[in-house]
Amino acid sequence: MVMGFAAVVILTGLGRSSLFIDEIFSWNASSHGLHGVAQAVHKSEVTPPLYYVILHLWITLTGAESEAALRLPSALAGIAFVGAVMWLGILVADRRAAVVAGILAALSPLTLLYAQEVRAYIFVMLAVTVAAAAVVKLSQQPDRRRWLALAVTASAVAVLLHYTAVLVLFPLSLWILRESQVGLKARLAIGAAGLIPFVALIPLMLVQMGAGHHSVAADAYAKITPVGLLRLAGTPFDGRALDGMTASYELGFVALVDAVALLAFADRFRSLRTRWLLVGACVLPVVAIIAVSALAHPLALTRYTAVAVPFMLVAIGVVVVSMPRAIGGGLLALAVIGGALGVGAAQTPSGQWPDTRSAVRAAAAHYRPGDVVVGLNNMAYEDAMSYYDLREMPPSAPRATGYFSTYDAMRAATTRRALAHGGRVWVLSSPPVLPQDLQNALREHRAQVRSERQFGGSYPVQLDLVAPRR
Amino acid sequence: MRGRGSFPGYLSHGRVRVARVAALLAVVGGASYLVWRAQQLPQLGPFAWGFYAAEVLTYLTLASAVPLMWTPRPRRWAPPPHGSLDVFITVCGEDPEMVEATVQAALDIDYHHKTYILNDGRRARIEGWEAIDAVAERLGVPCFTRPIGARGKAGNLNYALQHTDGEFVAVIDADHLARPDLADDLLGHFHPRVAFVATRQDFRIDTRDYLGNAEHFFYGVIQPAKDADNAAFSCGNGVVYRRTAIEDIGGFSEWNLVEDLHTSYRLHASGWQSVYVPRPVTTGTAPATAAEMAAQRLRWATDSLRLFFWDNPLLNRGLTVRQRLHYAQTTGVYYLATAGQICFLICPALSLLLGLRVLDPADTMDYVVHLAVFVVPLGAMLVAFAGWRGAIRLVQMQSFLAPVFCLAAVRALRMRPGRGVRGFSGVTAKSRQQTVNRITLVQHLLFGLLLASVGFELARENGIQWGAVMWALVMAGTLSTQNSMVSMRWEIAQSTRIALTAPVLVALALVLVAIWSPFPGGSSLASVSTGPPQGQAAAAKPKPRLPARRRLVAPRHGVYLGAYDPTVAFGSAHGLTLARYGPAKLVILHRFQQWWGKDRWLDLGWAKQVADAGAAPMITWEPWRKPRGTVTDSNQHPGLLKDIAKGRYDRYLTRWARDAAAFRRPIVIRFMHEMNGSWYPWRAHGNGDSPADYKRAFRHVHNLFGAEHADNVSWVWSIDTLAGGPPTPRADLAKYYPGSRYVDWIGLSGFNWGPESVYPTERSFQATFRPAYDVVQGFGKPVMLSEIGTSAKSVDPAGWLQSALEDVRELSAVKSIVWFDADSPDADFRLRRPALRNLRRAGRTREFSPAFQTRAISR
Repeated sequence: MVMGFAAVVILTGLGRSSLFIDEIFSWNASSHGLHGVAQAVHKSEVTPPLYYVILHLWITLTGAESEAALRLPSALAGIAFVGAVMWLGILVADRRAAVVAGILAALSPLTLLYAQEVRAYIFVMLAVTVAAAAVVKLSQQPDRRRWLALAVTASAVAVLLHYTAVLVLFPLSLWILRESQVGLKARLAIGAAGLIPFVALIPLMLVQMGAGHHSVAADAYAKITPVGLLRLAGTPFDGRALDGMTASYELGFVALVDAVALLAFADRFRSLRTRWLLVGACVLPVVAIIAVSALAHPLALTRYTAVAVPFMLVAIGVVVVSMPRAIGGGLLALAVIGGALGVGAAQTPSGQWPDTRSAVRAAAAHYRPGDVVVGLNNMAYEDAMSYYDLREMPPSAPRATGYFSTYDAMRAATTRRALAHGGRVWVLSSPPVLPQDLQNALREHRAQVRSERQFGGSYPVQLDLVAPRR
Repeated sequence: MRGRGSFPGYLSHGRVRVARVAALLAVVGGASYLVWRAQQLPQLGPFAWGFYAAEVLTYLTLASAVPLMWTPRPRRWAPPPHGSLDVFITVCGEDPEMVEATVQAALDIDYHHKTYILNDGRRARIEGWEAIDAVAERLGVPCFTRPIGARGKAGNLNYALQHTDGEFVAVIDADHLARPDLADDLLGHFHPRVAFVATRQDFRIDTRDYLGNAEHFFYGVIQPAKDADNAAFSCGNGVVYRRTAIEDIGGFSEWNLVEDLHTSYRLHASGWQSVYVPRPVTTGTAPATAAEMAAQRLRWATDSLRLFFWDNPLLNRGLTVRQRLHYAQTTGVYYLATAGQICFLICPALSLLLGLRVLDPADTMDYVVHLAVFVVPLGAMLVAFAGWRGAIRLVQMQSFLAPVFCLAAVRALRMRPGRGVRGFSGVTAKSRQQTVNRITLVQHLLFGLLLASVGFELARENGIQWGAVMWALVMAGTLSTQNSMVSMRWEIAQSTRIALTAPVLVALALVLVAIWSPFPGGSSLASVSTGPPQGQAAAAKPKPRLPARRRLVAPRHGVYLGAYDPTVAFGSAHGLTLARYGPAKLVILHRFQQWWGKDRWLDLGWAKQVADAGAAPMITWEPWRKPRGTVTDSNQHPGLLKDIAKGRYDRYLTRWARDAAAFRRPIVIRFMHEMNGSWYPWRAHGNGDSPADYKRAFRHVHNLFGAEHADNVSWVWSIDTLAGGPPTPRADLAKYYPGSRYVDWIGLSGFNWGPESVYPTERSFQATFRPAYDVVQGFGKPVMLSEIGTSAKSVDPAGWLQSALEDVRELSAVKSIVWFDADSPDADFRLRRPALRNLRRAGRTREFSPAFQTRAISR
């Protein structure tokens, strides 16, 4: 039932939103064969290659093209993730805790975000959940080798999906090392399963840190802010929407911190064997990301703490069912209200990704030979519009991308040539360019903004039509 | 084990010494903090005065307490006990089983004595009082059950006193189990003038003692210090009185609500002595819920304050001076000062919800340093005296009990002597304690208010008052522990405590991490103020010693390059981007600011970004509200200069000056520029002002900055070249030149407007600047071409720039060129690629890249 509920939440509006720029990056990386994947992970991505291989196989085998079809693997992983969280909940505590954790997973704005996104995050969340559940199961049934095999496989897969997996595999390994009923070799194998792929991936990670879109994104969004840190500490309650989320992550933050603190310090949980596993897996990713952001490089984004989400949700589930009703009920109410508000906000029009699809369609509907398309701000990335560009615009339409200032884009040779020959310029920008900037940039040309239209989303896409003065 | 040295329970000499040093530092540091804070108050409203008054009250309490607790007196082991002992067990409605255990323990005291039960249940009309008589009968213990007499414990004791004859009387509450060595520890202290021996209270509580019942500070420091001055008072339980002393003052005091404090007070006033032993002789129960504790403390506080208000110790001639001070401290000052802390609880929330300003840390670093000078030694003193847990509980209790003591003060004032003290139960509930009552509802509401205010503030996401958020979380944190004690069940109390405290502490930690983070993000040190948002800046780690203030000085050789570029002038969350200027080293980054409007305060975040980029911020500071849509509004605010000189804007200016002083690094202010033109309201001629008014206004502002030690500011007096036409004559300029003491640089504005502008001219650099330069160089100040530009539509912008950079060498007094690289309503002066290339190339030369030279001014 809980998984059915999760399926309804996740599959509702799966293809409604345009692909976000990051999703188009994933699509681009996976659409040009394994060679393309290799190139992409070296040049423009910040994750290991496994997800793109999976996506490549999906696209190749199913011919997936639409937004919904591209997001379907993530959606299925999201539904499976809810199931995995429940499994972990059963192993750590009992069925009631599992149901609570499952409901919260289905109501988590972050689960929804990544289950409806063509990115690797929901897969790594699933993989670490399965790895943790298998390890806990192994500690309960030390002689069943299948749990060891599952734990090792899931750990390795998790690291190959995203580097941040080590942030939970580390406390998981420490925890299993103390479980003496499991054989030493098995315990070491679990630790090695995460460590070996991670070490092997370090050269790639170093290359990626020096290239790709990572630095730009990090500089723009990932710096430490108090509000950002609150969201980080309440990761499962952060979501896609930009507005209307404050109550979600504030309530979620309180519920989550309460749950983890109670697990760590309340006398009642002293006998819970998995107490420090849950606490460590909840706290370490958040603390590590904050520390790195504060001391080395800005990374304060919930995508990097997403691996802690299953443990956070299970922690809430365990506390809710174990504590006296007044406290447990209060926590559950905070978490459910917070989650529902976040999920609700994500499903509103302003909770969708920028509506690039409609913007490109609108441009294509009035496109005339000789016109040129210019992308600005997020749209300035060469890949940003490519998905819709290829589908909606004539193949011969010239484009000017890669210019990060309005002034430079308007002085680009393609643009100047088009305007000089009576062509028009379709300027797509998200976030929208300032009208004054555009006016100023057009001073050198005998051109003016003929029309301006905005398309909705968490932050809008603007379509300006620039035409020569008559 | 008895020994020859002092009793256990006293602080070691080392800890006392550390505490004394810390106390002295706190007194001195507190004074410095308050003096510093007092300087901010004129800029803030009356609300801030209230907050400040609470700070002063707290400080005075500390300052007055330090001398009184300077010398805790260690007592030695007493000689062998002597004399006959009566043990009174006072009962008033307690459970018979509990009383039975207490009596049994009293019977086991290892000294010849008589034990009595003083059952006051009948007098207090408590149902089931007969059960206590049955217990007495079963144990063979005499029991006094009086039907009439004065209400309360004092009446109960006095009744028993009349019917017994022991030389000494030990009083034990019904919920306290006496230790067998009670008499051994206490009776030996009774020298002829000793009226009573008081002891430390001990309770059967969890070691974590969330409510702070153990009161380490009171029993470990305050009482021994009072003992040194013969002012320790009885706590009503575990105390042994000399019968003759009590009889000497006419029996236990029935004047007040509770007998112990006032009886001690009267004994001291009658010349009797007291002894305090920091070793518990009984173990009993204590309030397990916050509500019960609040009710208990309300009784005690009312009792003490009633004594303070209506029988003031300071006026009692029977006491020594130090005894008077001790009793005044105990009965009045402590409670009233703690009651004042209600301001600390309310102000952060009101500050966040209503936008009222209580603090003005223009430079948060200054605020933190000054506050730390007070708070750190204060904390060290408390930790040295009471240990970590004792210190924390003490601070928490101060917050939690603040509303209780407010109520107590009101009640005490209403309870005049002779009006009776009805409506007060004098007994703490032992078995079934209330979980929430009307007294603690206030603390719960305050806690909710503080958290709600933080939540509302965070929902804004922009312009958050991080200082007030931080304080709200700190105060919520101090309330959370006691507020969570809503049940006698340990598990519920512990869980509630964790659930209330954890989010507050984690949120506080995250806010602090964000504030101190080296990466400039959504918050900044500069914006950690309760004033208007001040932009975004990277935070720096606190430095115990502030760096010297430095002022920009003209280079001995070469010319500074600077620019006004709107994309740079207003900074960004991600720092300054100077890549546009390539290798050219910009020493001055220019921006315009008005006195009215959103952007009226010194943007410390931006200034720091500029300084971090190795440049000095230059602000053209315009005393007007910049009109929208039109280029200028020359008749805005007639008589502006007179108003400035009269001090009408001093509040704003002082605040600005403090911000500038706090910045400490070089700032250049180009104030009331182009006054020789006709287009600004601060022009020297017209708009209701005269050249003399201009001079006075300039000097007044300069002096205000001087008073605030903002001597890191360099002042630019900047005229316009009048579009290359005839320059303003020297004689005219002299009428409004403020004077060499007030001016560090003389600025010139001049542009090559180009043929298509509103001033269609095409003039060379020499033609634009030379005439005005020749006039101003006579003032003997370095010259700054503070606005220089050529229209993008001029004949050859790149060539004009190149010739400017070459020809400027002939103008030897010119020490700085600040390029106007922006689009103005009159013409587009932005540098295009060829001109920009020339500027970059020039920036690589030694001529245009002199070292950034500053002079240390002061600390």
